[in-house]
Amino acid sequence: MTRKKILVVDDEENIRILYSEELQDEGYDVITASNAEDADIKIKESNPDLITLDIKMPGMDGIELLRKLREYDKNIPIVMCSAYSDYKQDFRTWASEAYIIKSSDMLELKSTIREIFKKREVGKLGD
Amino acid sequence: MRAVKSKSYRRGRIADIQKVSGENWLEILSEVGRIAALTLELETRLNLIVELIARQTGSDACSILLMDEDRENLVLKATKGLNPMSINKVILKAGEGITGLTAKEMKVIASRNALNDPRSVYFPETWEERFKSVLSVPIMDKNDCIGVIYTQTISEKDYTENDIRLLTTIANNISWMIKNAQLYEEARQKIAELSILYEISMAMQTTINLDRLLRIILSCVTVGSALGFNRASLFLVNEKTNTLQGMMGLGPDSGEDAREIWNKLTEITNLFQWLTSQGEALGKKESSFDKFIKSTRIPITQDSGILALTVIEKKPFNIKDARNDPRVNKELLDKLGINSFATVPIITKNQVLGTIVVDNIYTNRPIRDEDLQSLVRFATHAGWAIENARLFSQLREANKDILIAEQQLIQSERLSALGQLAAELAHEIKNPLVTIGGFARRLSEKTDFSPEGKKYTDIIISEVERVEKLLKDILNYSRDVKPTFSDYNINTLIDEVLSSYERIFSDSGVIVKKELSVNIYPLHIDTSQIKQVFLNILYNAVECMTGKGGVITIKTEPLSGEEGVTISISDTGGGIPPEILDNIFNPFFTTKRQGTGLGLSLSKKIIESHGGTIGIDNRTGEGATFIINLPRRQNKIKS
Ligand SMILES: Nc1ncnc2c1ncn2[C@@H]1O[C@H](COP(=O)(O)OP(=O)(O)OP(=O)(O)O)[C@@H](O)[C@H]1O
Ligand SMILES: [Mg+2]
Repeated sequence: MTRKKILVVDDEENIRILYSEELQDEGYDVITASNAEDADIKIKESNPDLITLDIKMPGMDGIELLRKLREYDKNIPIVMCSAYSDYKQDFRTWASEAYIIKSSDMLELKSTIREIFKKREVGKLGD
Repeated sequence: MRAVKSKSYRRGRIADIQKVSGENWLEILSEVGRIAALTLELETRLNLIVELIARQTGSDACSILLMDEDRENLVLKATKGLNPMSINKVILKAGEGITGLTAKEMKVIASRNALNDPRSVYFPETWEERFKSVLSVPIMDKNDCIGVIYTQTISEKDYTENDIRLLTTIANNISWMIKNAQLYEEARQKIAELSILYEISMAMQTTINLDRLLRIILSCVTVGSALGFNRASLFLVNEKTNTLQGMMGLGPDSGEDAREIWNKLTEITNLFQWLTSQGEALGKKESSFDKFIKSTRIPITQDSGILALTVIEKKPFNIKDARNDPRVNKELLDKLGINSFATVPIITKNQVLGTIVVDNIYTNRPIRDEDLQSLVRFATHAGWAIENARLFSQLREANKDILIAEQQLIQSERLSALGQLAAELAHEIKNPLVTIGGFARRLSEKTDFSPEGKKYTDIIISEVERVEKLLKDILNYSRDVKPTFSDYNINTLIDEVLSSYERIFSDSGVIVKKELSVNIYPLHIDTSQIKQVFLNILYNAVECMTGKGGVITIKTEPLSGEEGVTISISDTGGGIPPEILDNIFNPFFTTKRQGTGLGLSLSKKIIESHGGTIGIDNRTGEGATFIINLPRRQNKIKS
């Protein structure tokens, strides 16, 4: 099995560092982007297996970006990360795989990502 | 006898085929290419192609089957020679029959006598039992079979290498056209759906008002290029009476109106903008269709027609010939003046909220099952939105009751404004907090600390956790105070505020005078926010007159220059000292021992978010007048 690659999109550098290190410890390759345009380039260039998206970013926000991404890729799992739960009801976020409220405890994020990959693996075997 | 006849027949055919195998090959292929490039629907082009092939190859029938989306079944899409009514009706599994086998094994099959061929399966609805020979060729896209093209002849026939080559070449030539059309259709649907959902959701961000929401929903059903029905109506279930209640009907009253409106619609490029401006075209005019729908009540029983059945059976109906359908309620049908229509249930969490009914009364365009599928998907989202709006209005109702009963709520209303500010702060704090706590956790895991070091990092972790929890509570609390706009008469709102807080005034010996103009428009406002503004100003007025007594005058008049209202609130409390006048709208500026200094700054924020202005006429020594100008409609809706 090859290592999975995750793209972390967040405008705050420290969050990017934290997420990268935690996810690398989980055994993933991690690349990061600080805004929507950057994310767009990174996706095309390195084809990640999963994306975590911050909702509140200056410029194009995460929800806009989610919509853009879904227009050309229906399948790549996207995890929305937000400081608060306001957008959970916003059905523009429903096009994502999961919605997570940011927390200093990274357990939820990590287990969600693990679950998503597991589901995809099972799905593939079933084909 | 029979053999002889077919032999001589065959001889004539062979001459034809030899002709075909010569220069006609090119002619056929170029004609196929020309048809493939036409801007017609895929099925139309396929039908032109099979006709051409049947004619040019001297076959008695030529047909095309295409794989469905799940790549499991083949569906008849075009035919010349078989029963045209069986198009889209004949469905066979890959592997089933000669054509099915062609698809499964991806190879050419020629059968001289298909009637006796153990591999064949007959579909009576195609009337194909008269054909004896069949040549079946897979249509390939790279390594996948996406369909089958086959020719049939009534008399027995031996297929030559040439026949096979010609049909295979044609199959290769039309493969790209089929693939493109399918991709295009898929993309078109996906984009249309995505963008319509996106735009509705944007529009919904600005409203939780049920009536307006229903209008948005029906607008999407009728205006959107994705759905685009001529008329749509919405019925909601009334559980108490077990009836379906007509809520709203949207659509032009006559063909004339329809044409006028659709002409205007072509100018609408942004559905969202149109929705939030409430649509001059469809939105404003009160149609008799709308009136009719609103007056309609249907009992939810098995025998009261399709609408009731939609709710009972929780499934959509596409009624193509209503007049001859025993399930249809004829009385309603006559009033609607149509013979075909479709219904979909609005379902949330397994509960049926109601139904959306659509028709194409003016264009008479048949409602396809695909159209209905989009509508079903749409109805799911609509259901969710309606449920939310209902919950919200219930919440607001409940709030109203408490408000009137409990004076104490003044305090909590002021708190909710505070909560809003806190929410903004909390957002900003959350991110750094996550990094502080997150890295402290990493430190504690990665480093071999002395017992003390471990103790300190654990304290950081648990303290951060505590603040995070606190933030979560604040955010959850303040989420309920999102602005929601509705049309409201400001005089009514003032009356409500004054009567709710009557005791405050009488307790502090203040007399309140009203001078409300009857000539004012309803305003498009968030009532709870505007109420908040009045409270803040009235509270300040009372506070500066407490003990001394005095008069508060609250006055409304039409805004000069544009549609809107000017509200002025005057007191006789001595006015504001000139030296602090510049500061009073600043957050946290207060001269009171127990004040927070947020009242006026919040009020200003609220009024500005409504597109209005707030100002002061200060008469030092006498009193102050706060003047609020609110336009009828703010140009920009902020949330
Ligand atoms: N009608 C008034 N007459 C005289 N002074 C006023 C009047 N309204 C406001 N002020 C002055 O403006 C200041 C700011 O008002 P604001 O309502 O923003 O805060 P506050 O009343 O002090 O505190 P809180 O937000 O708790 O009500 C007041 O402290 C007061 O000095
Ligand atoms: Mg005040």
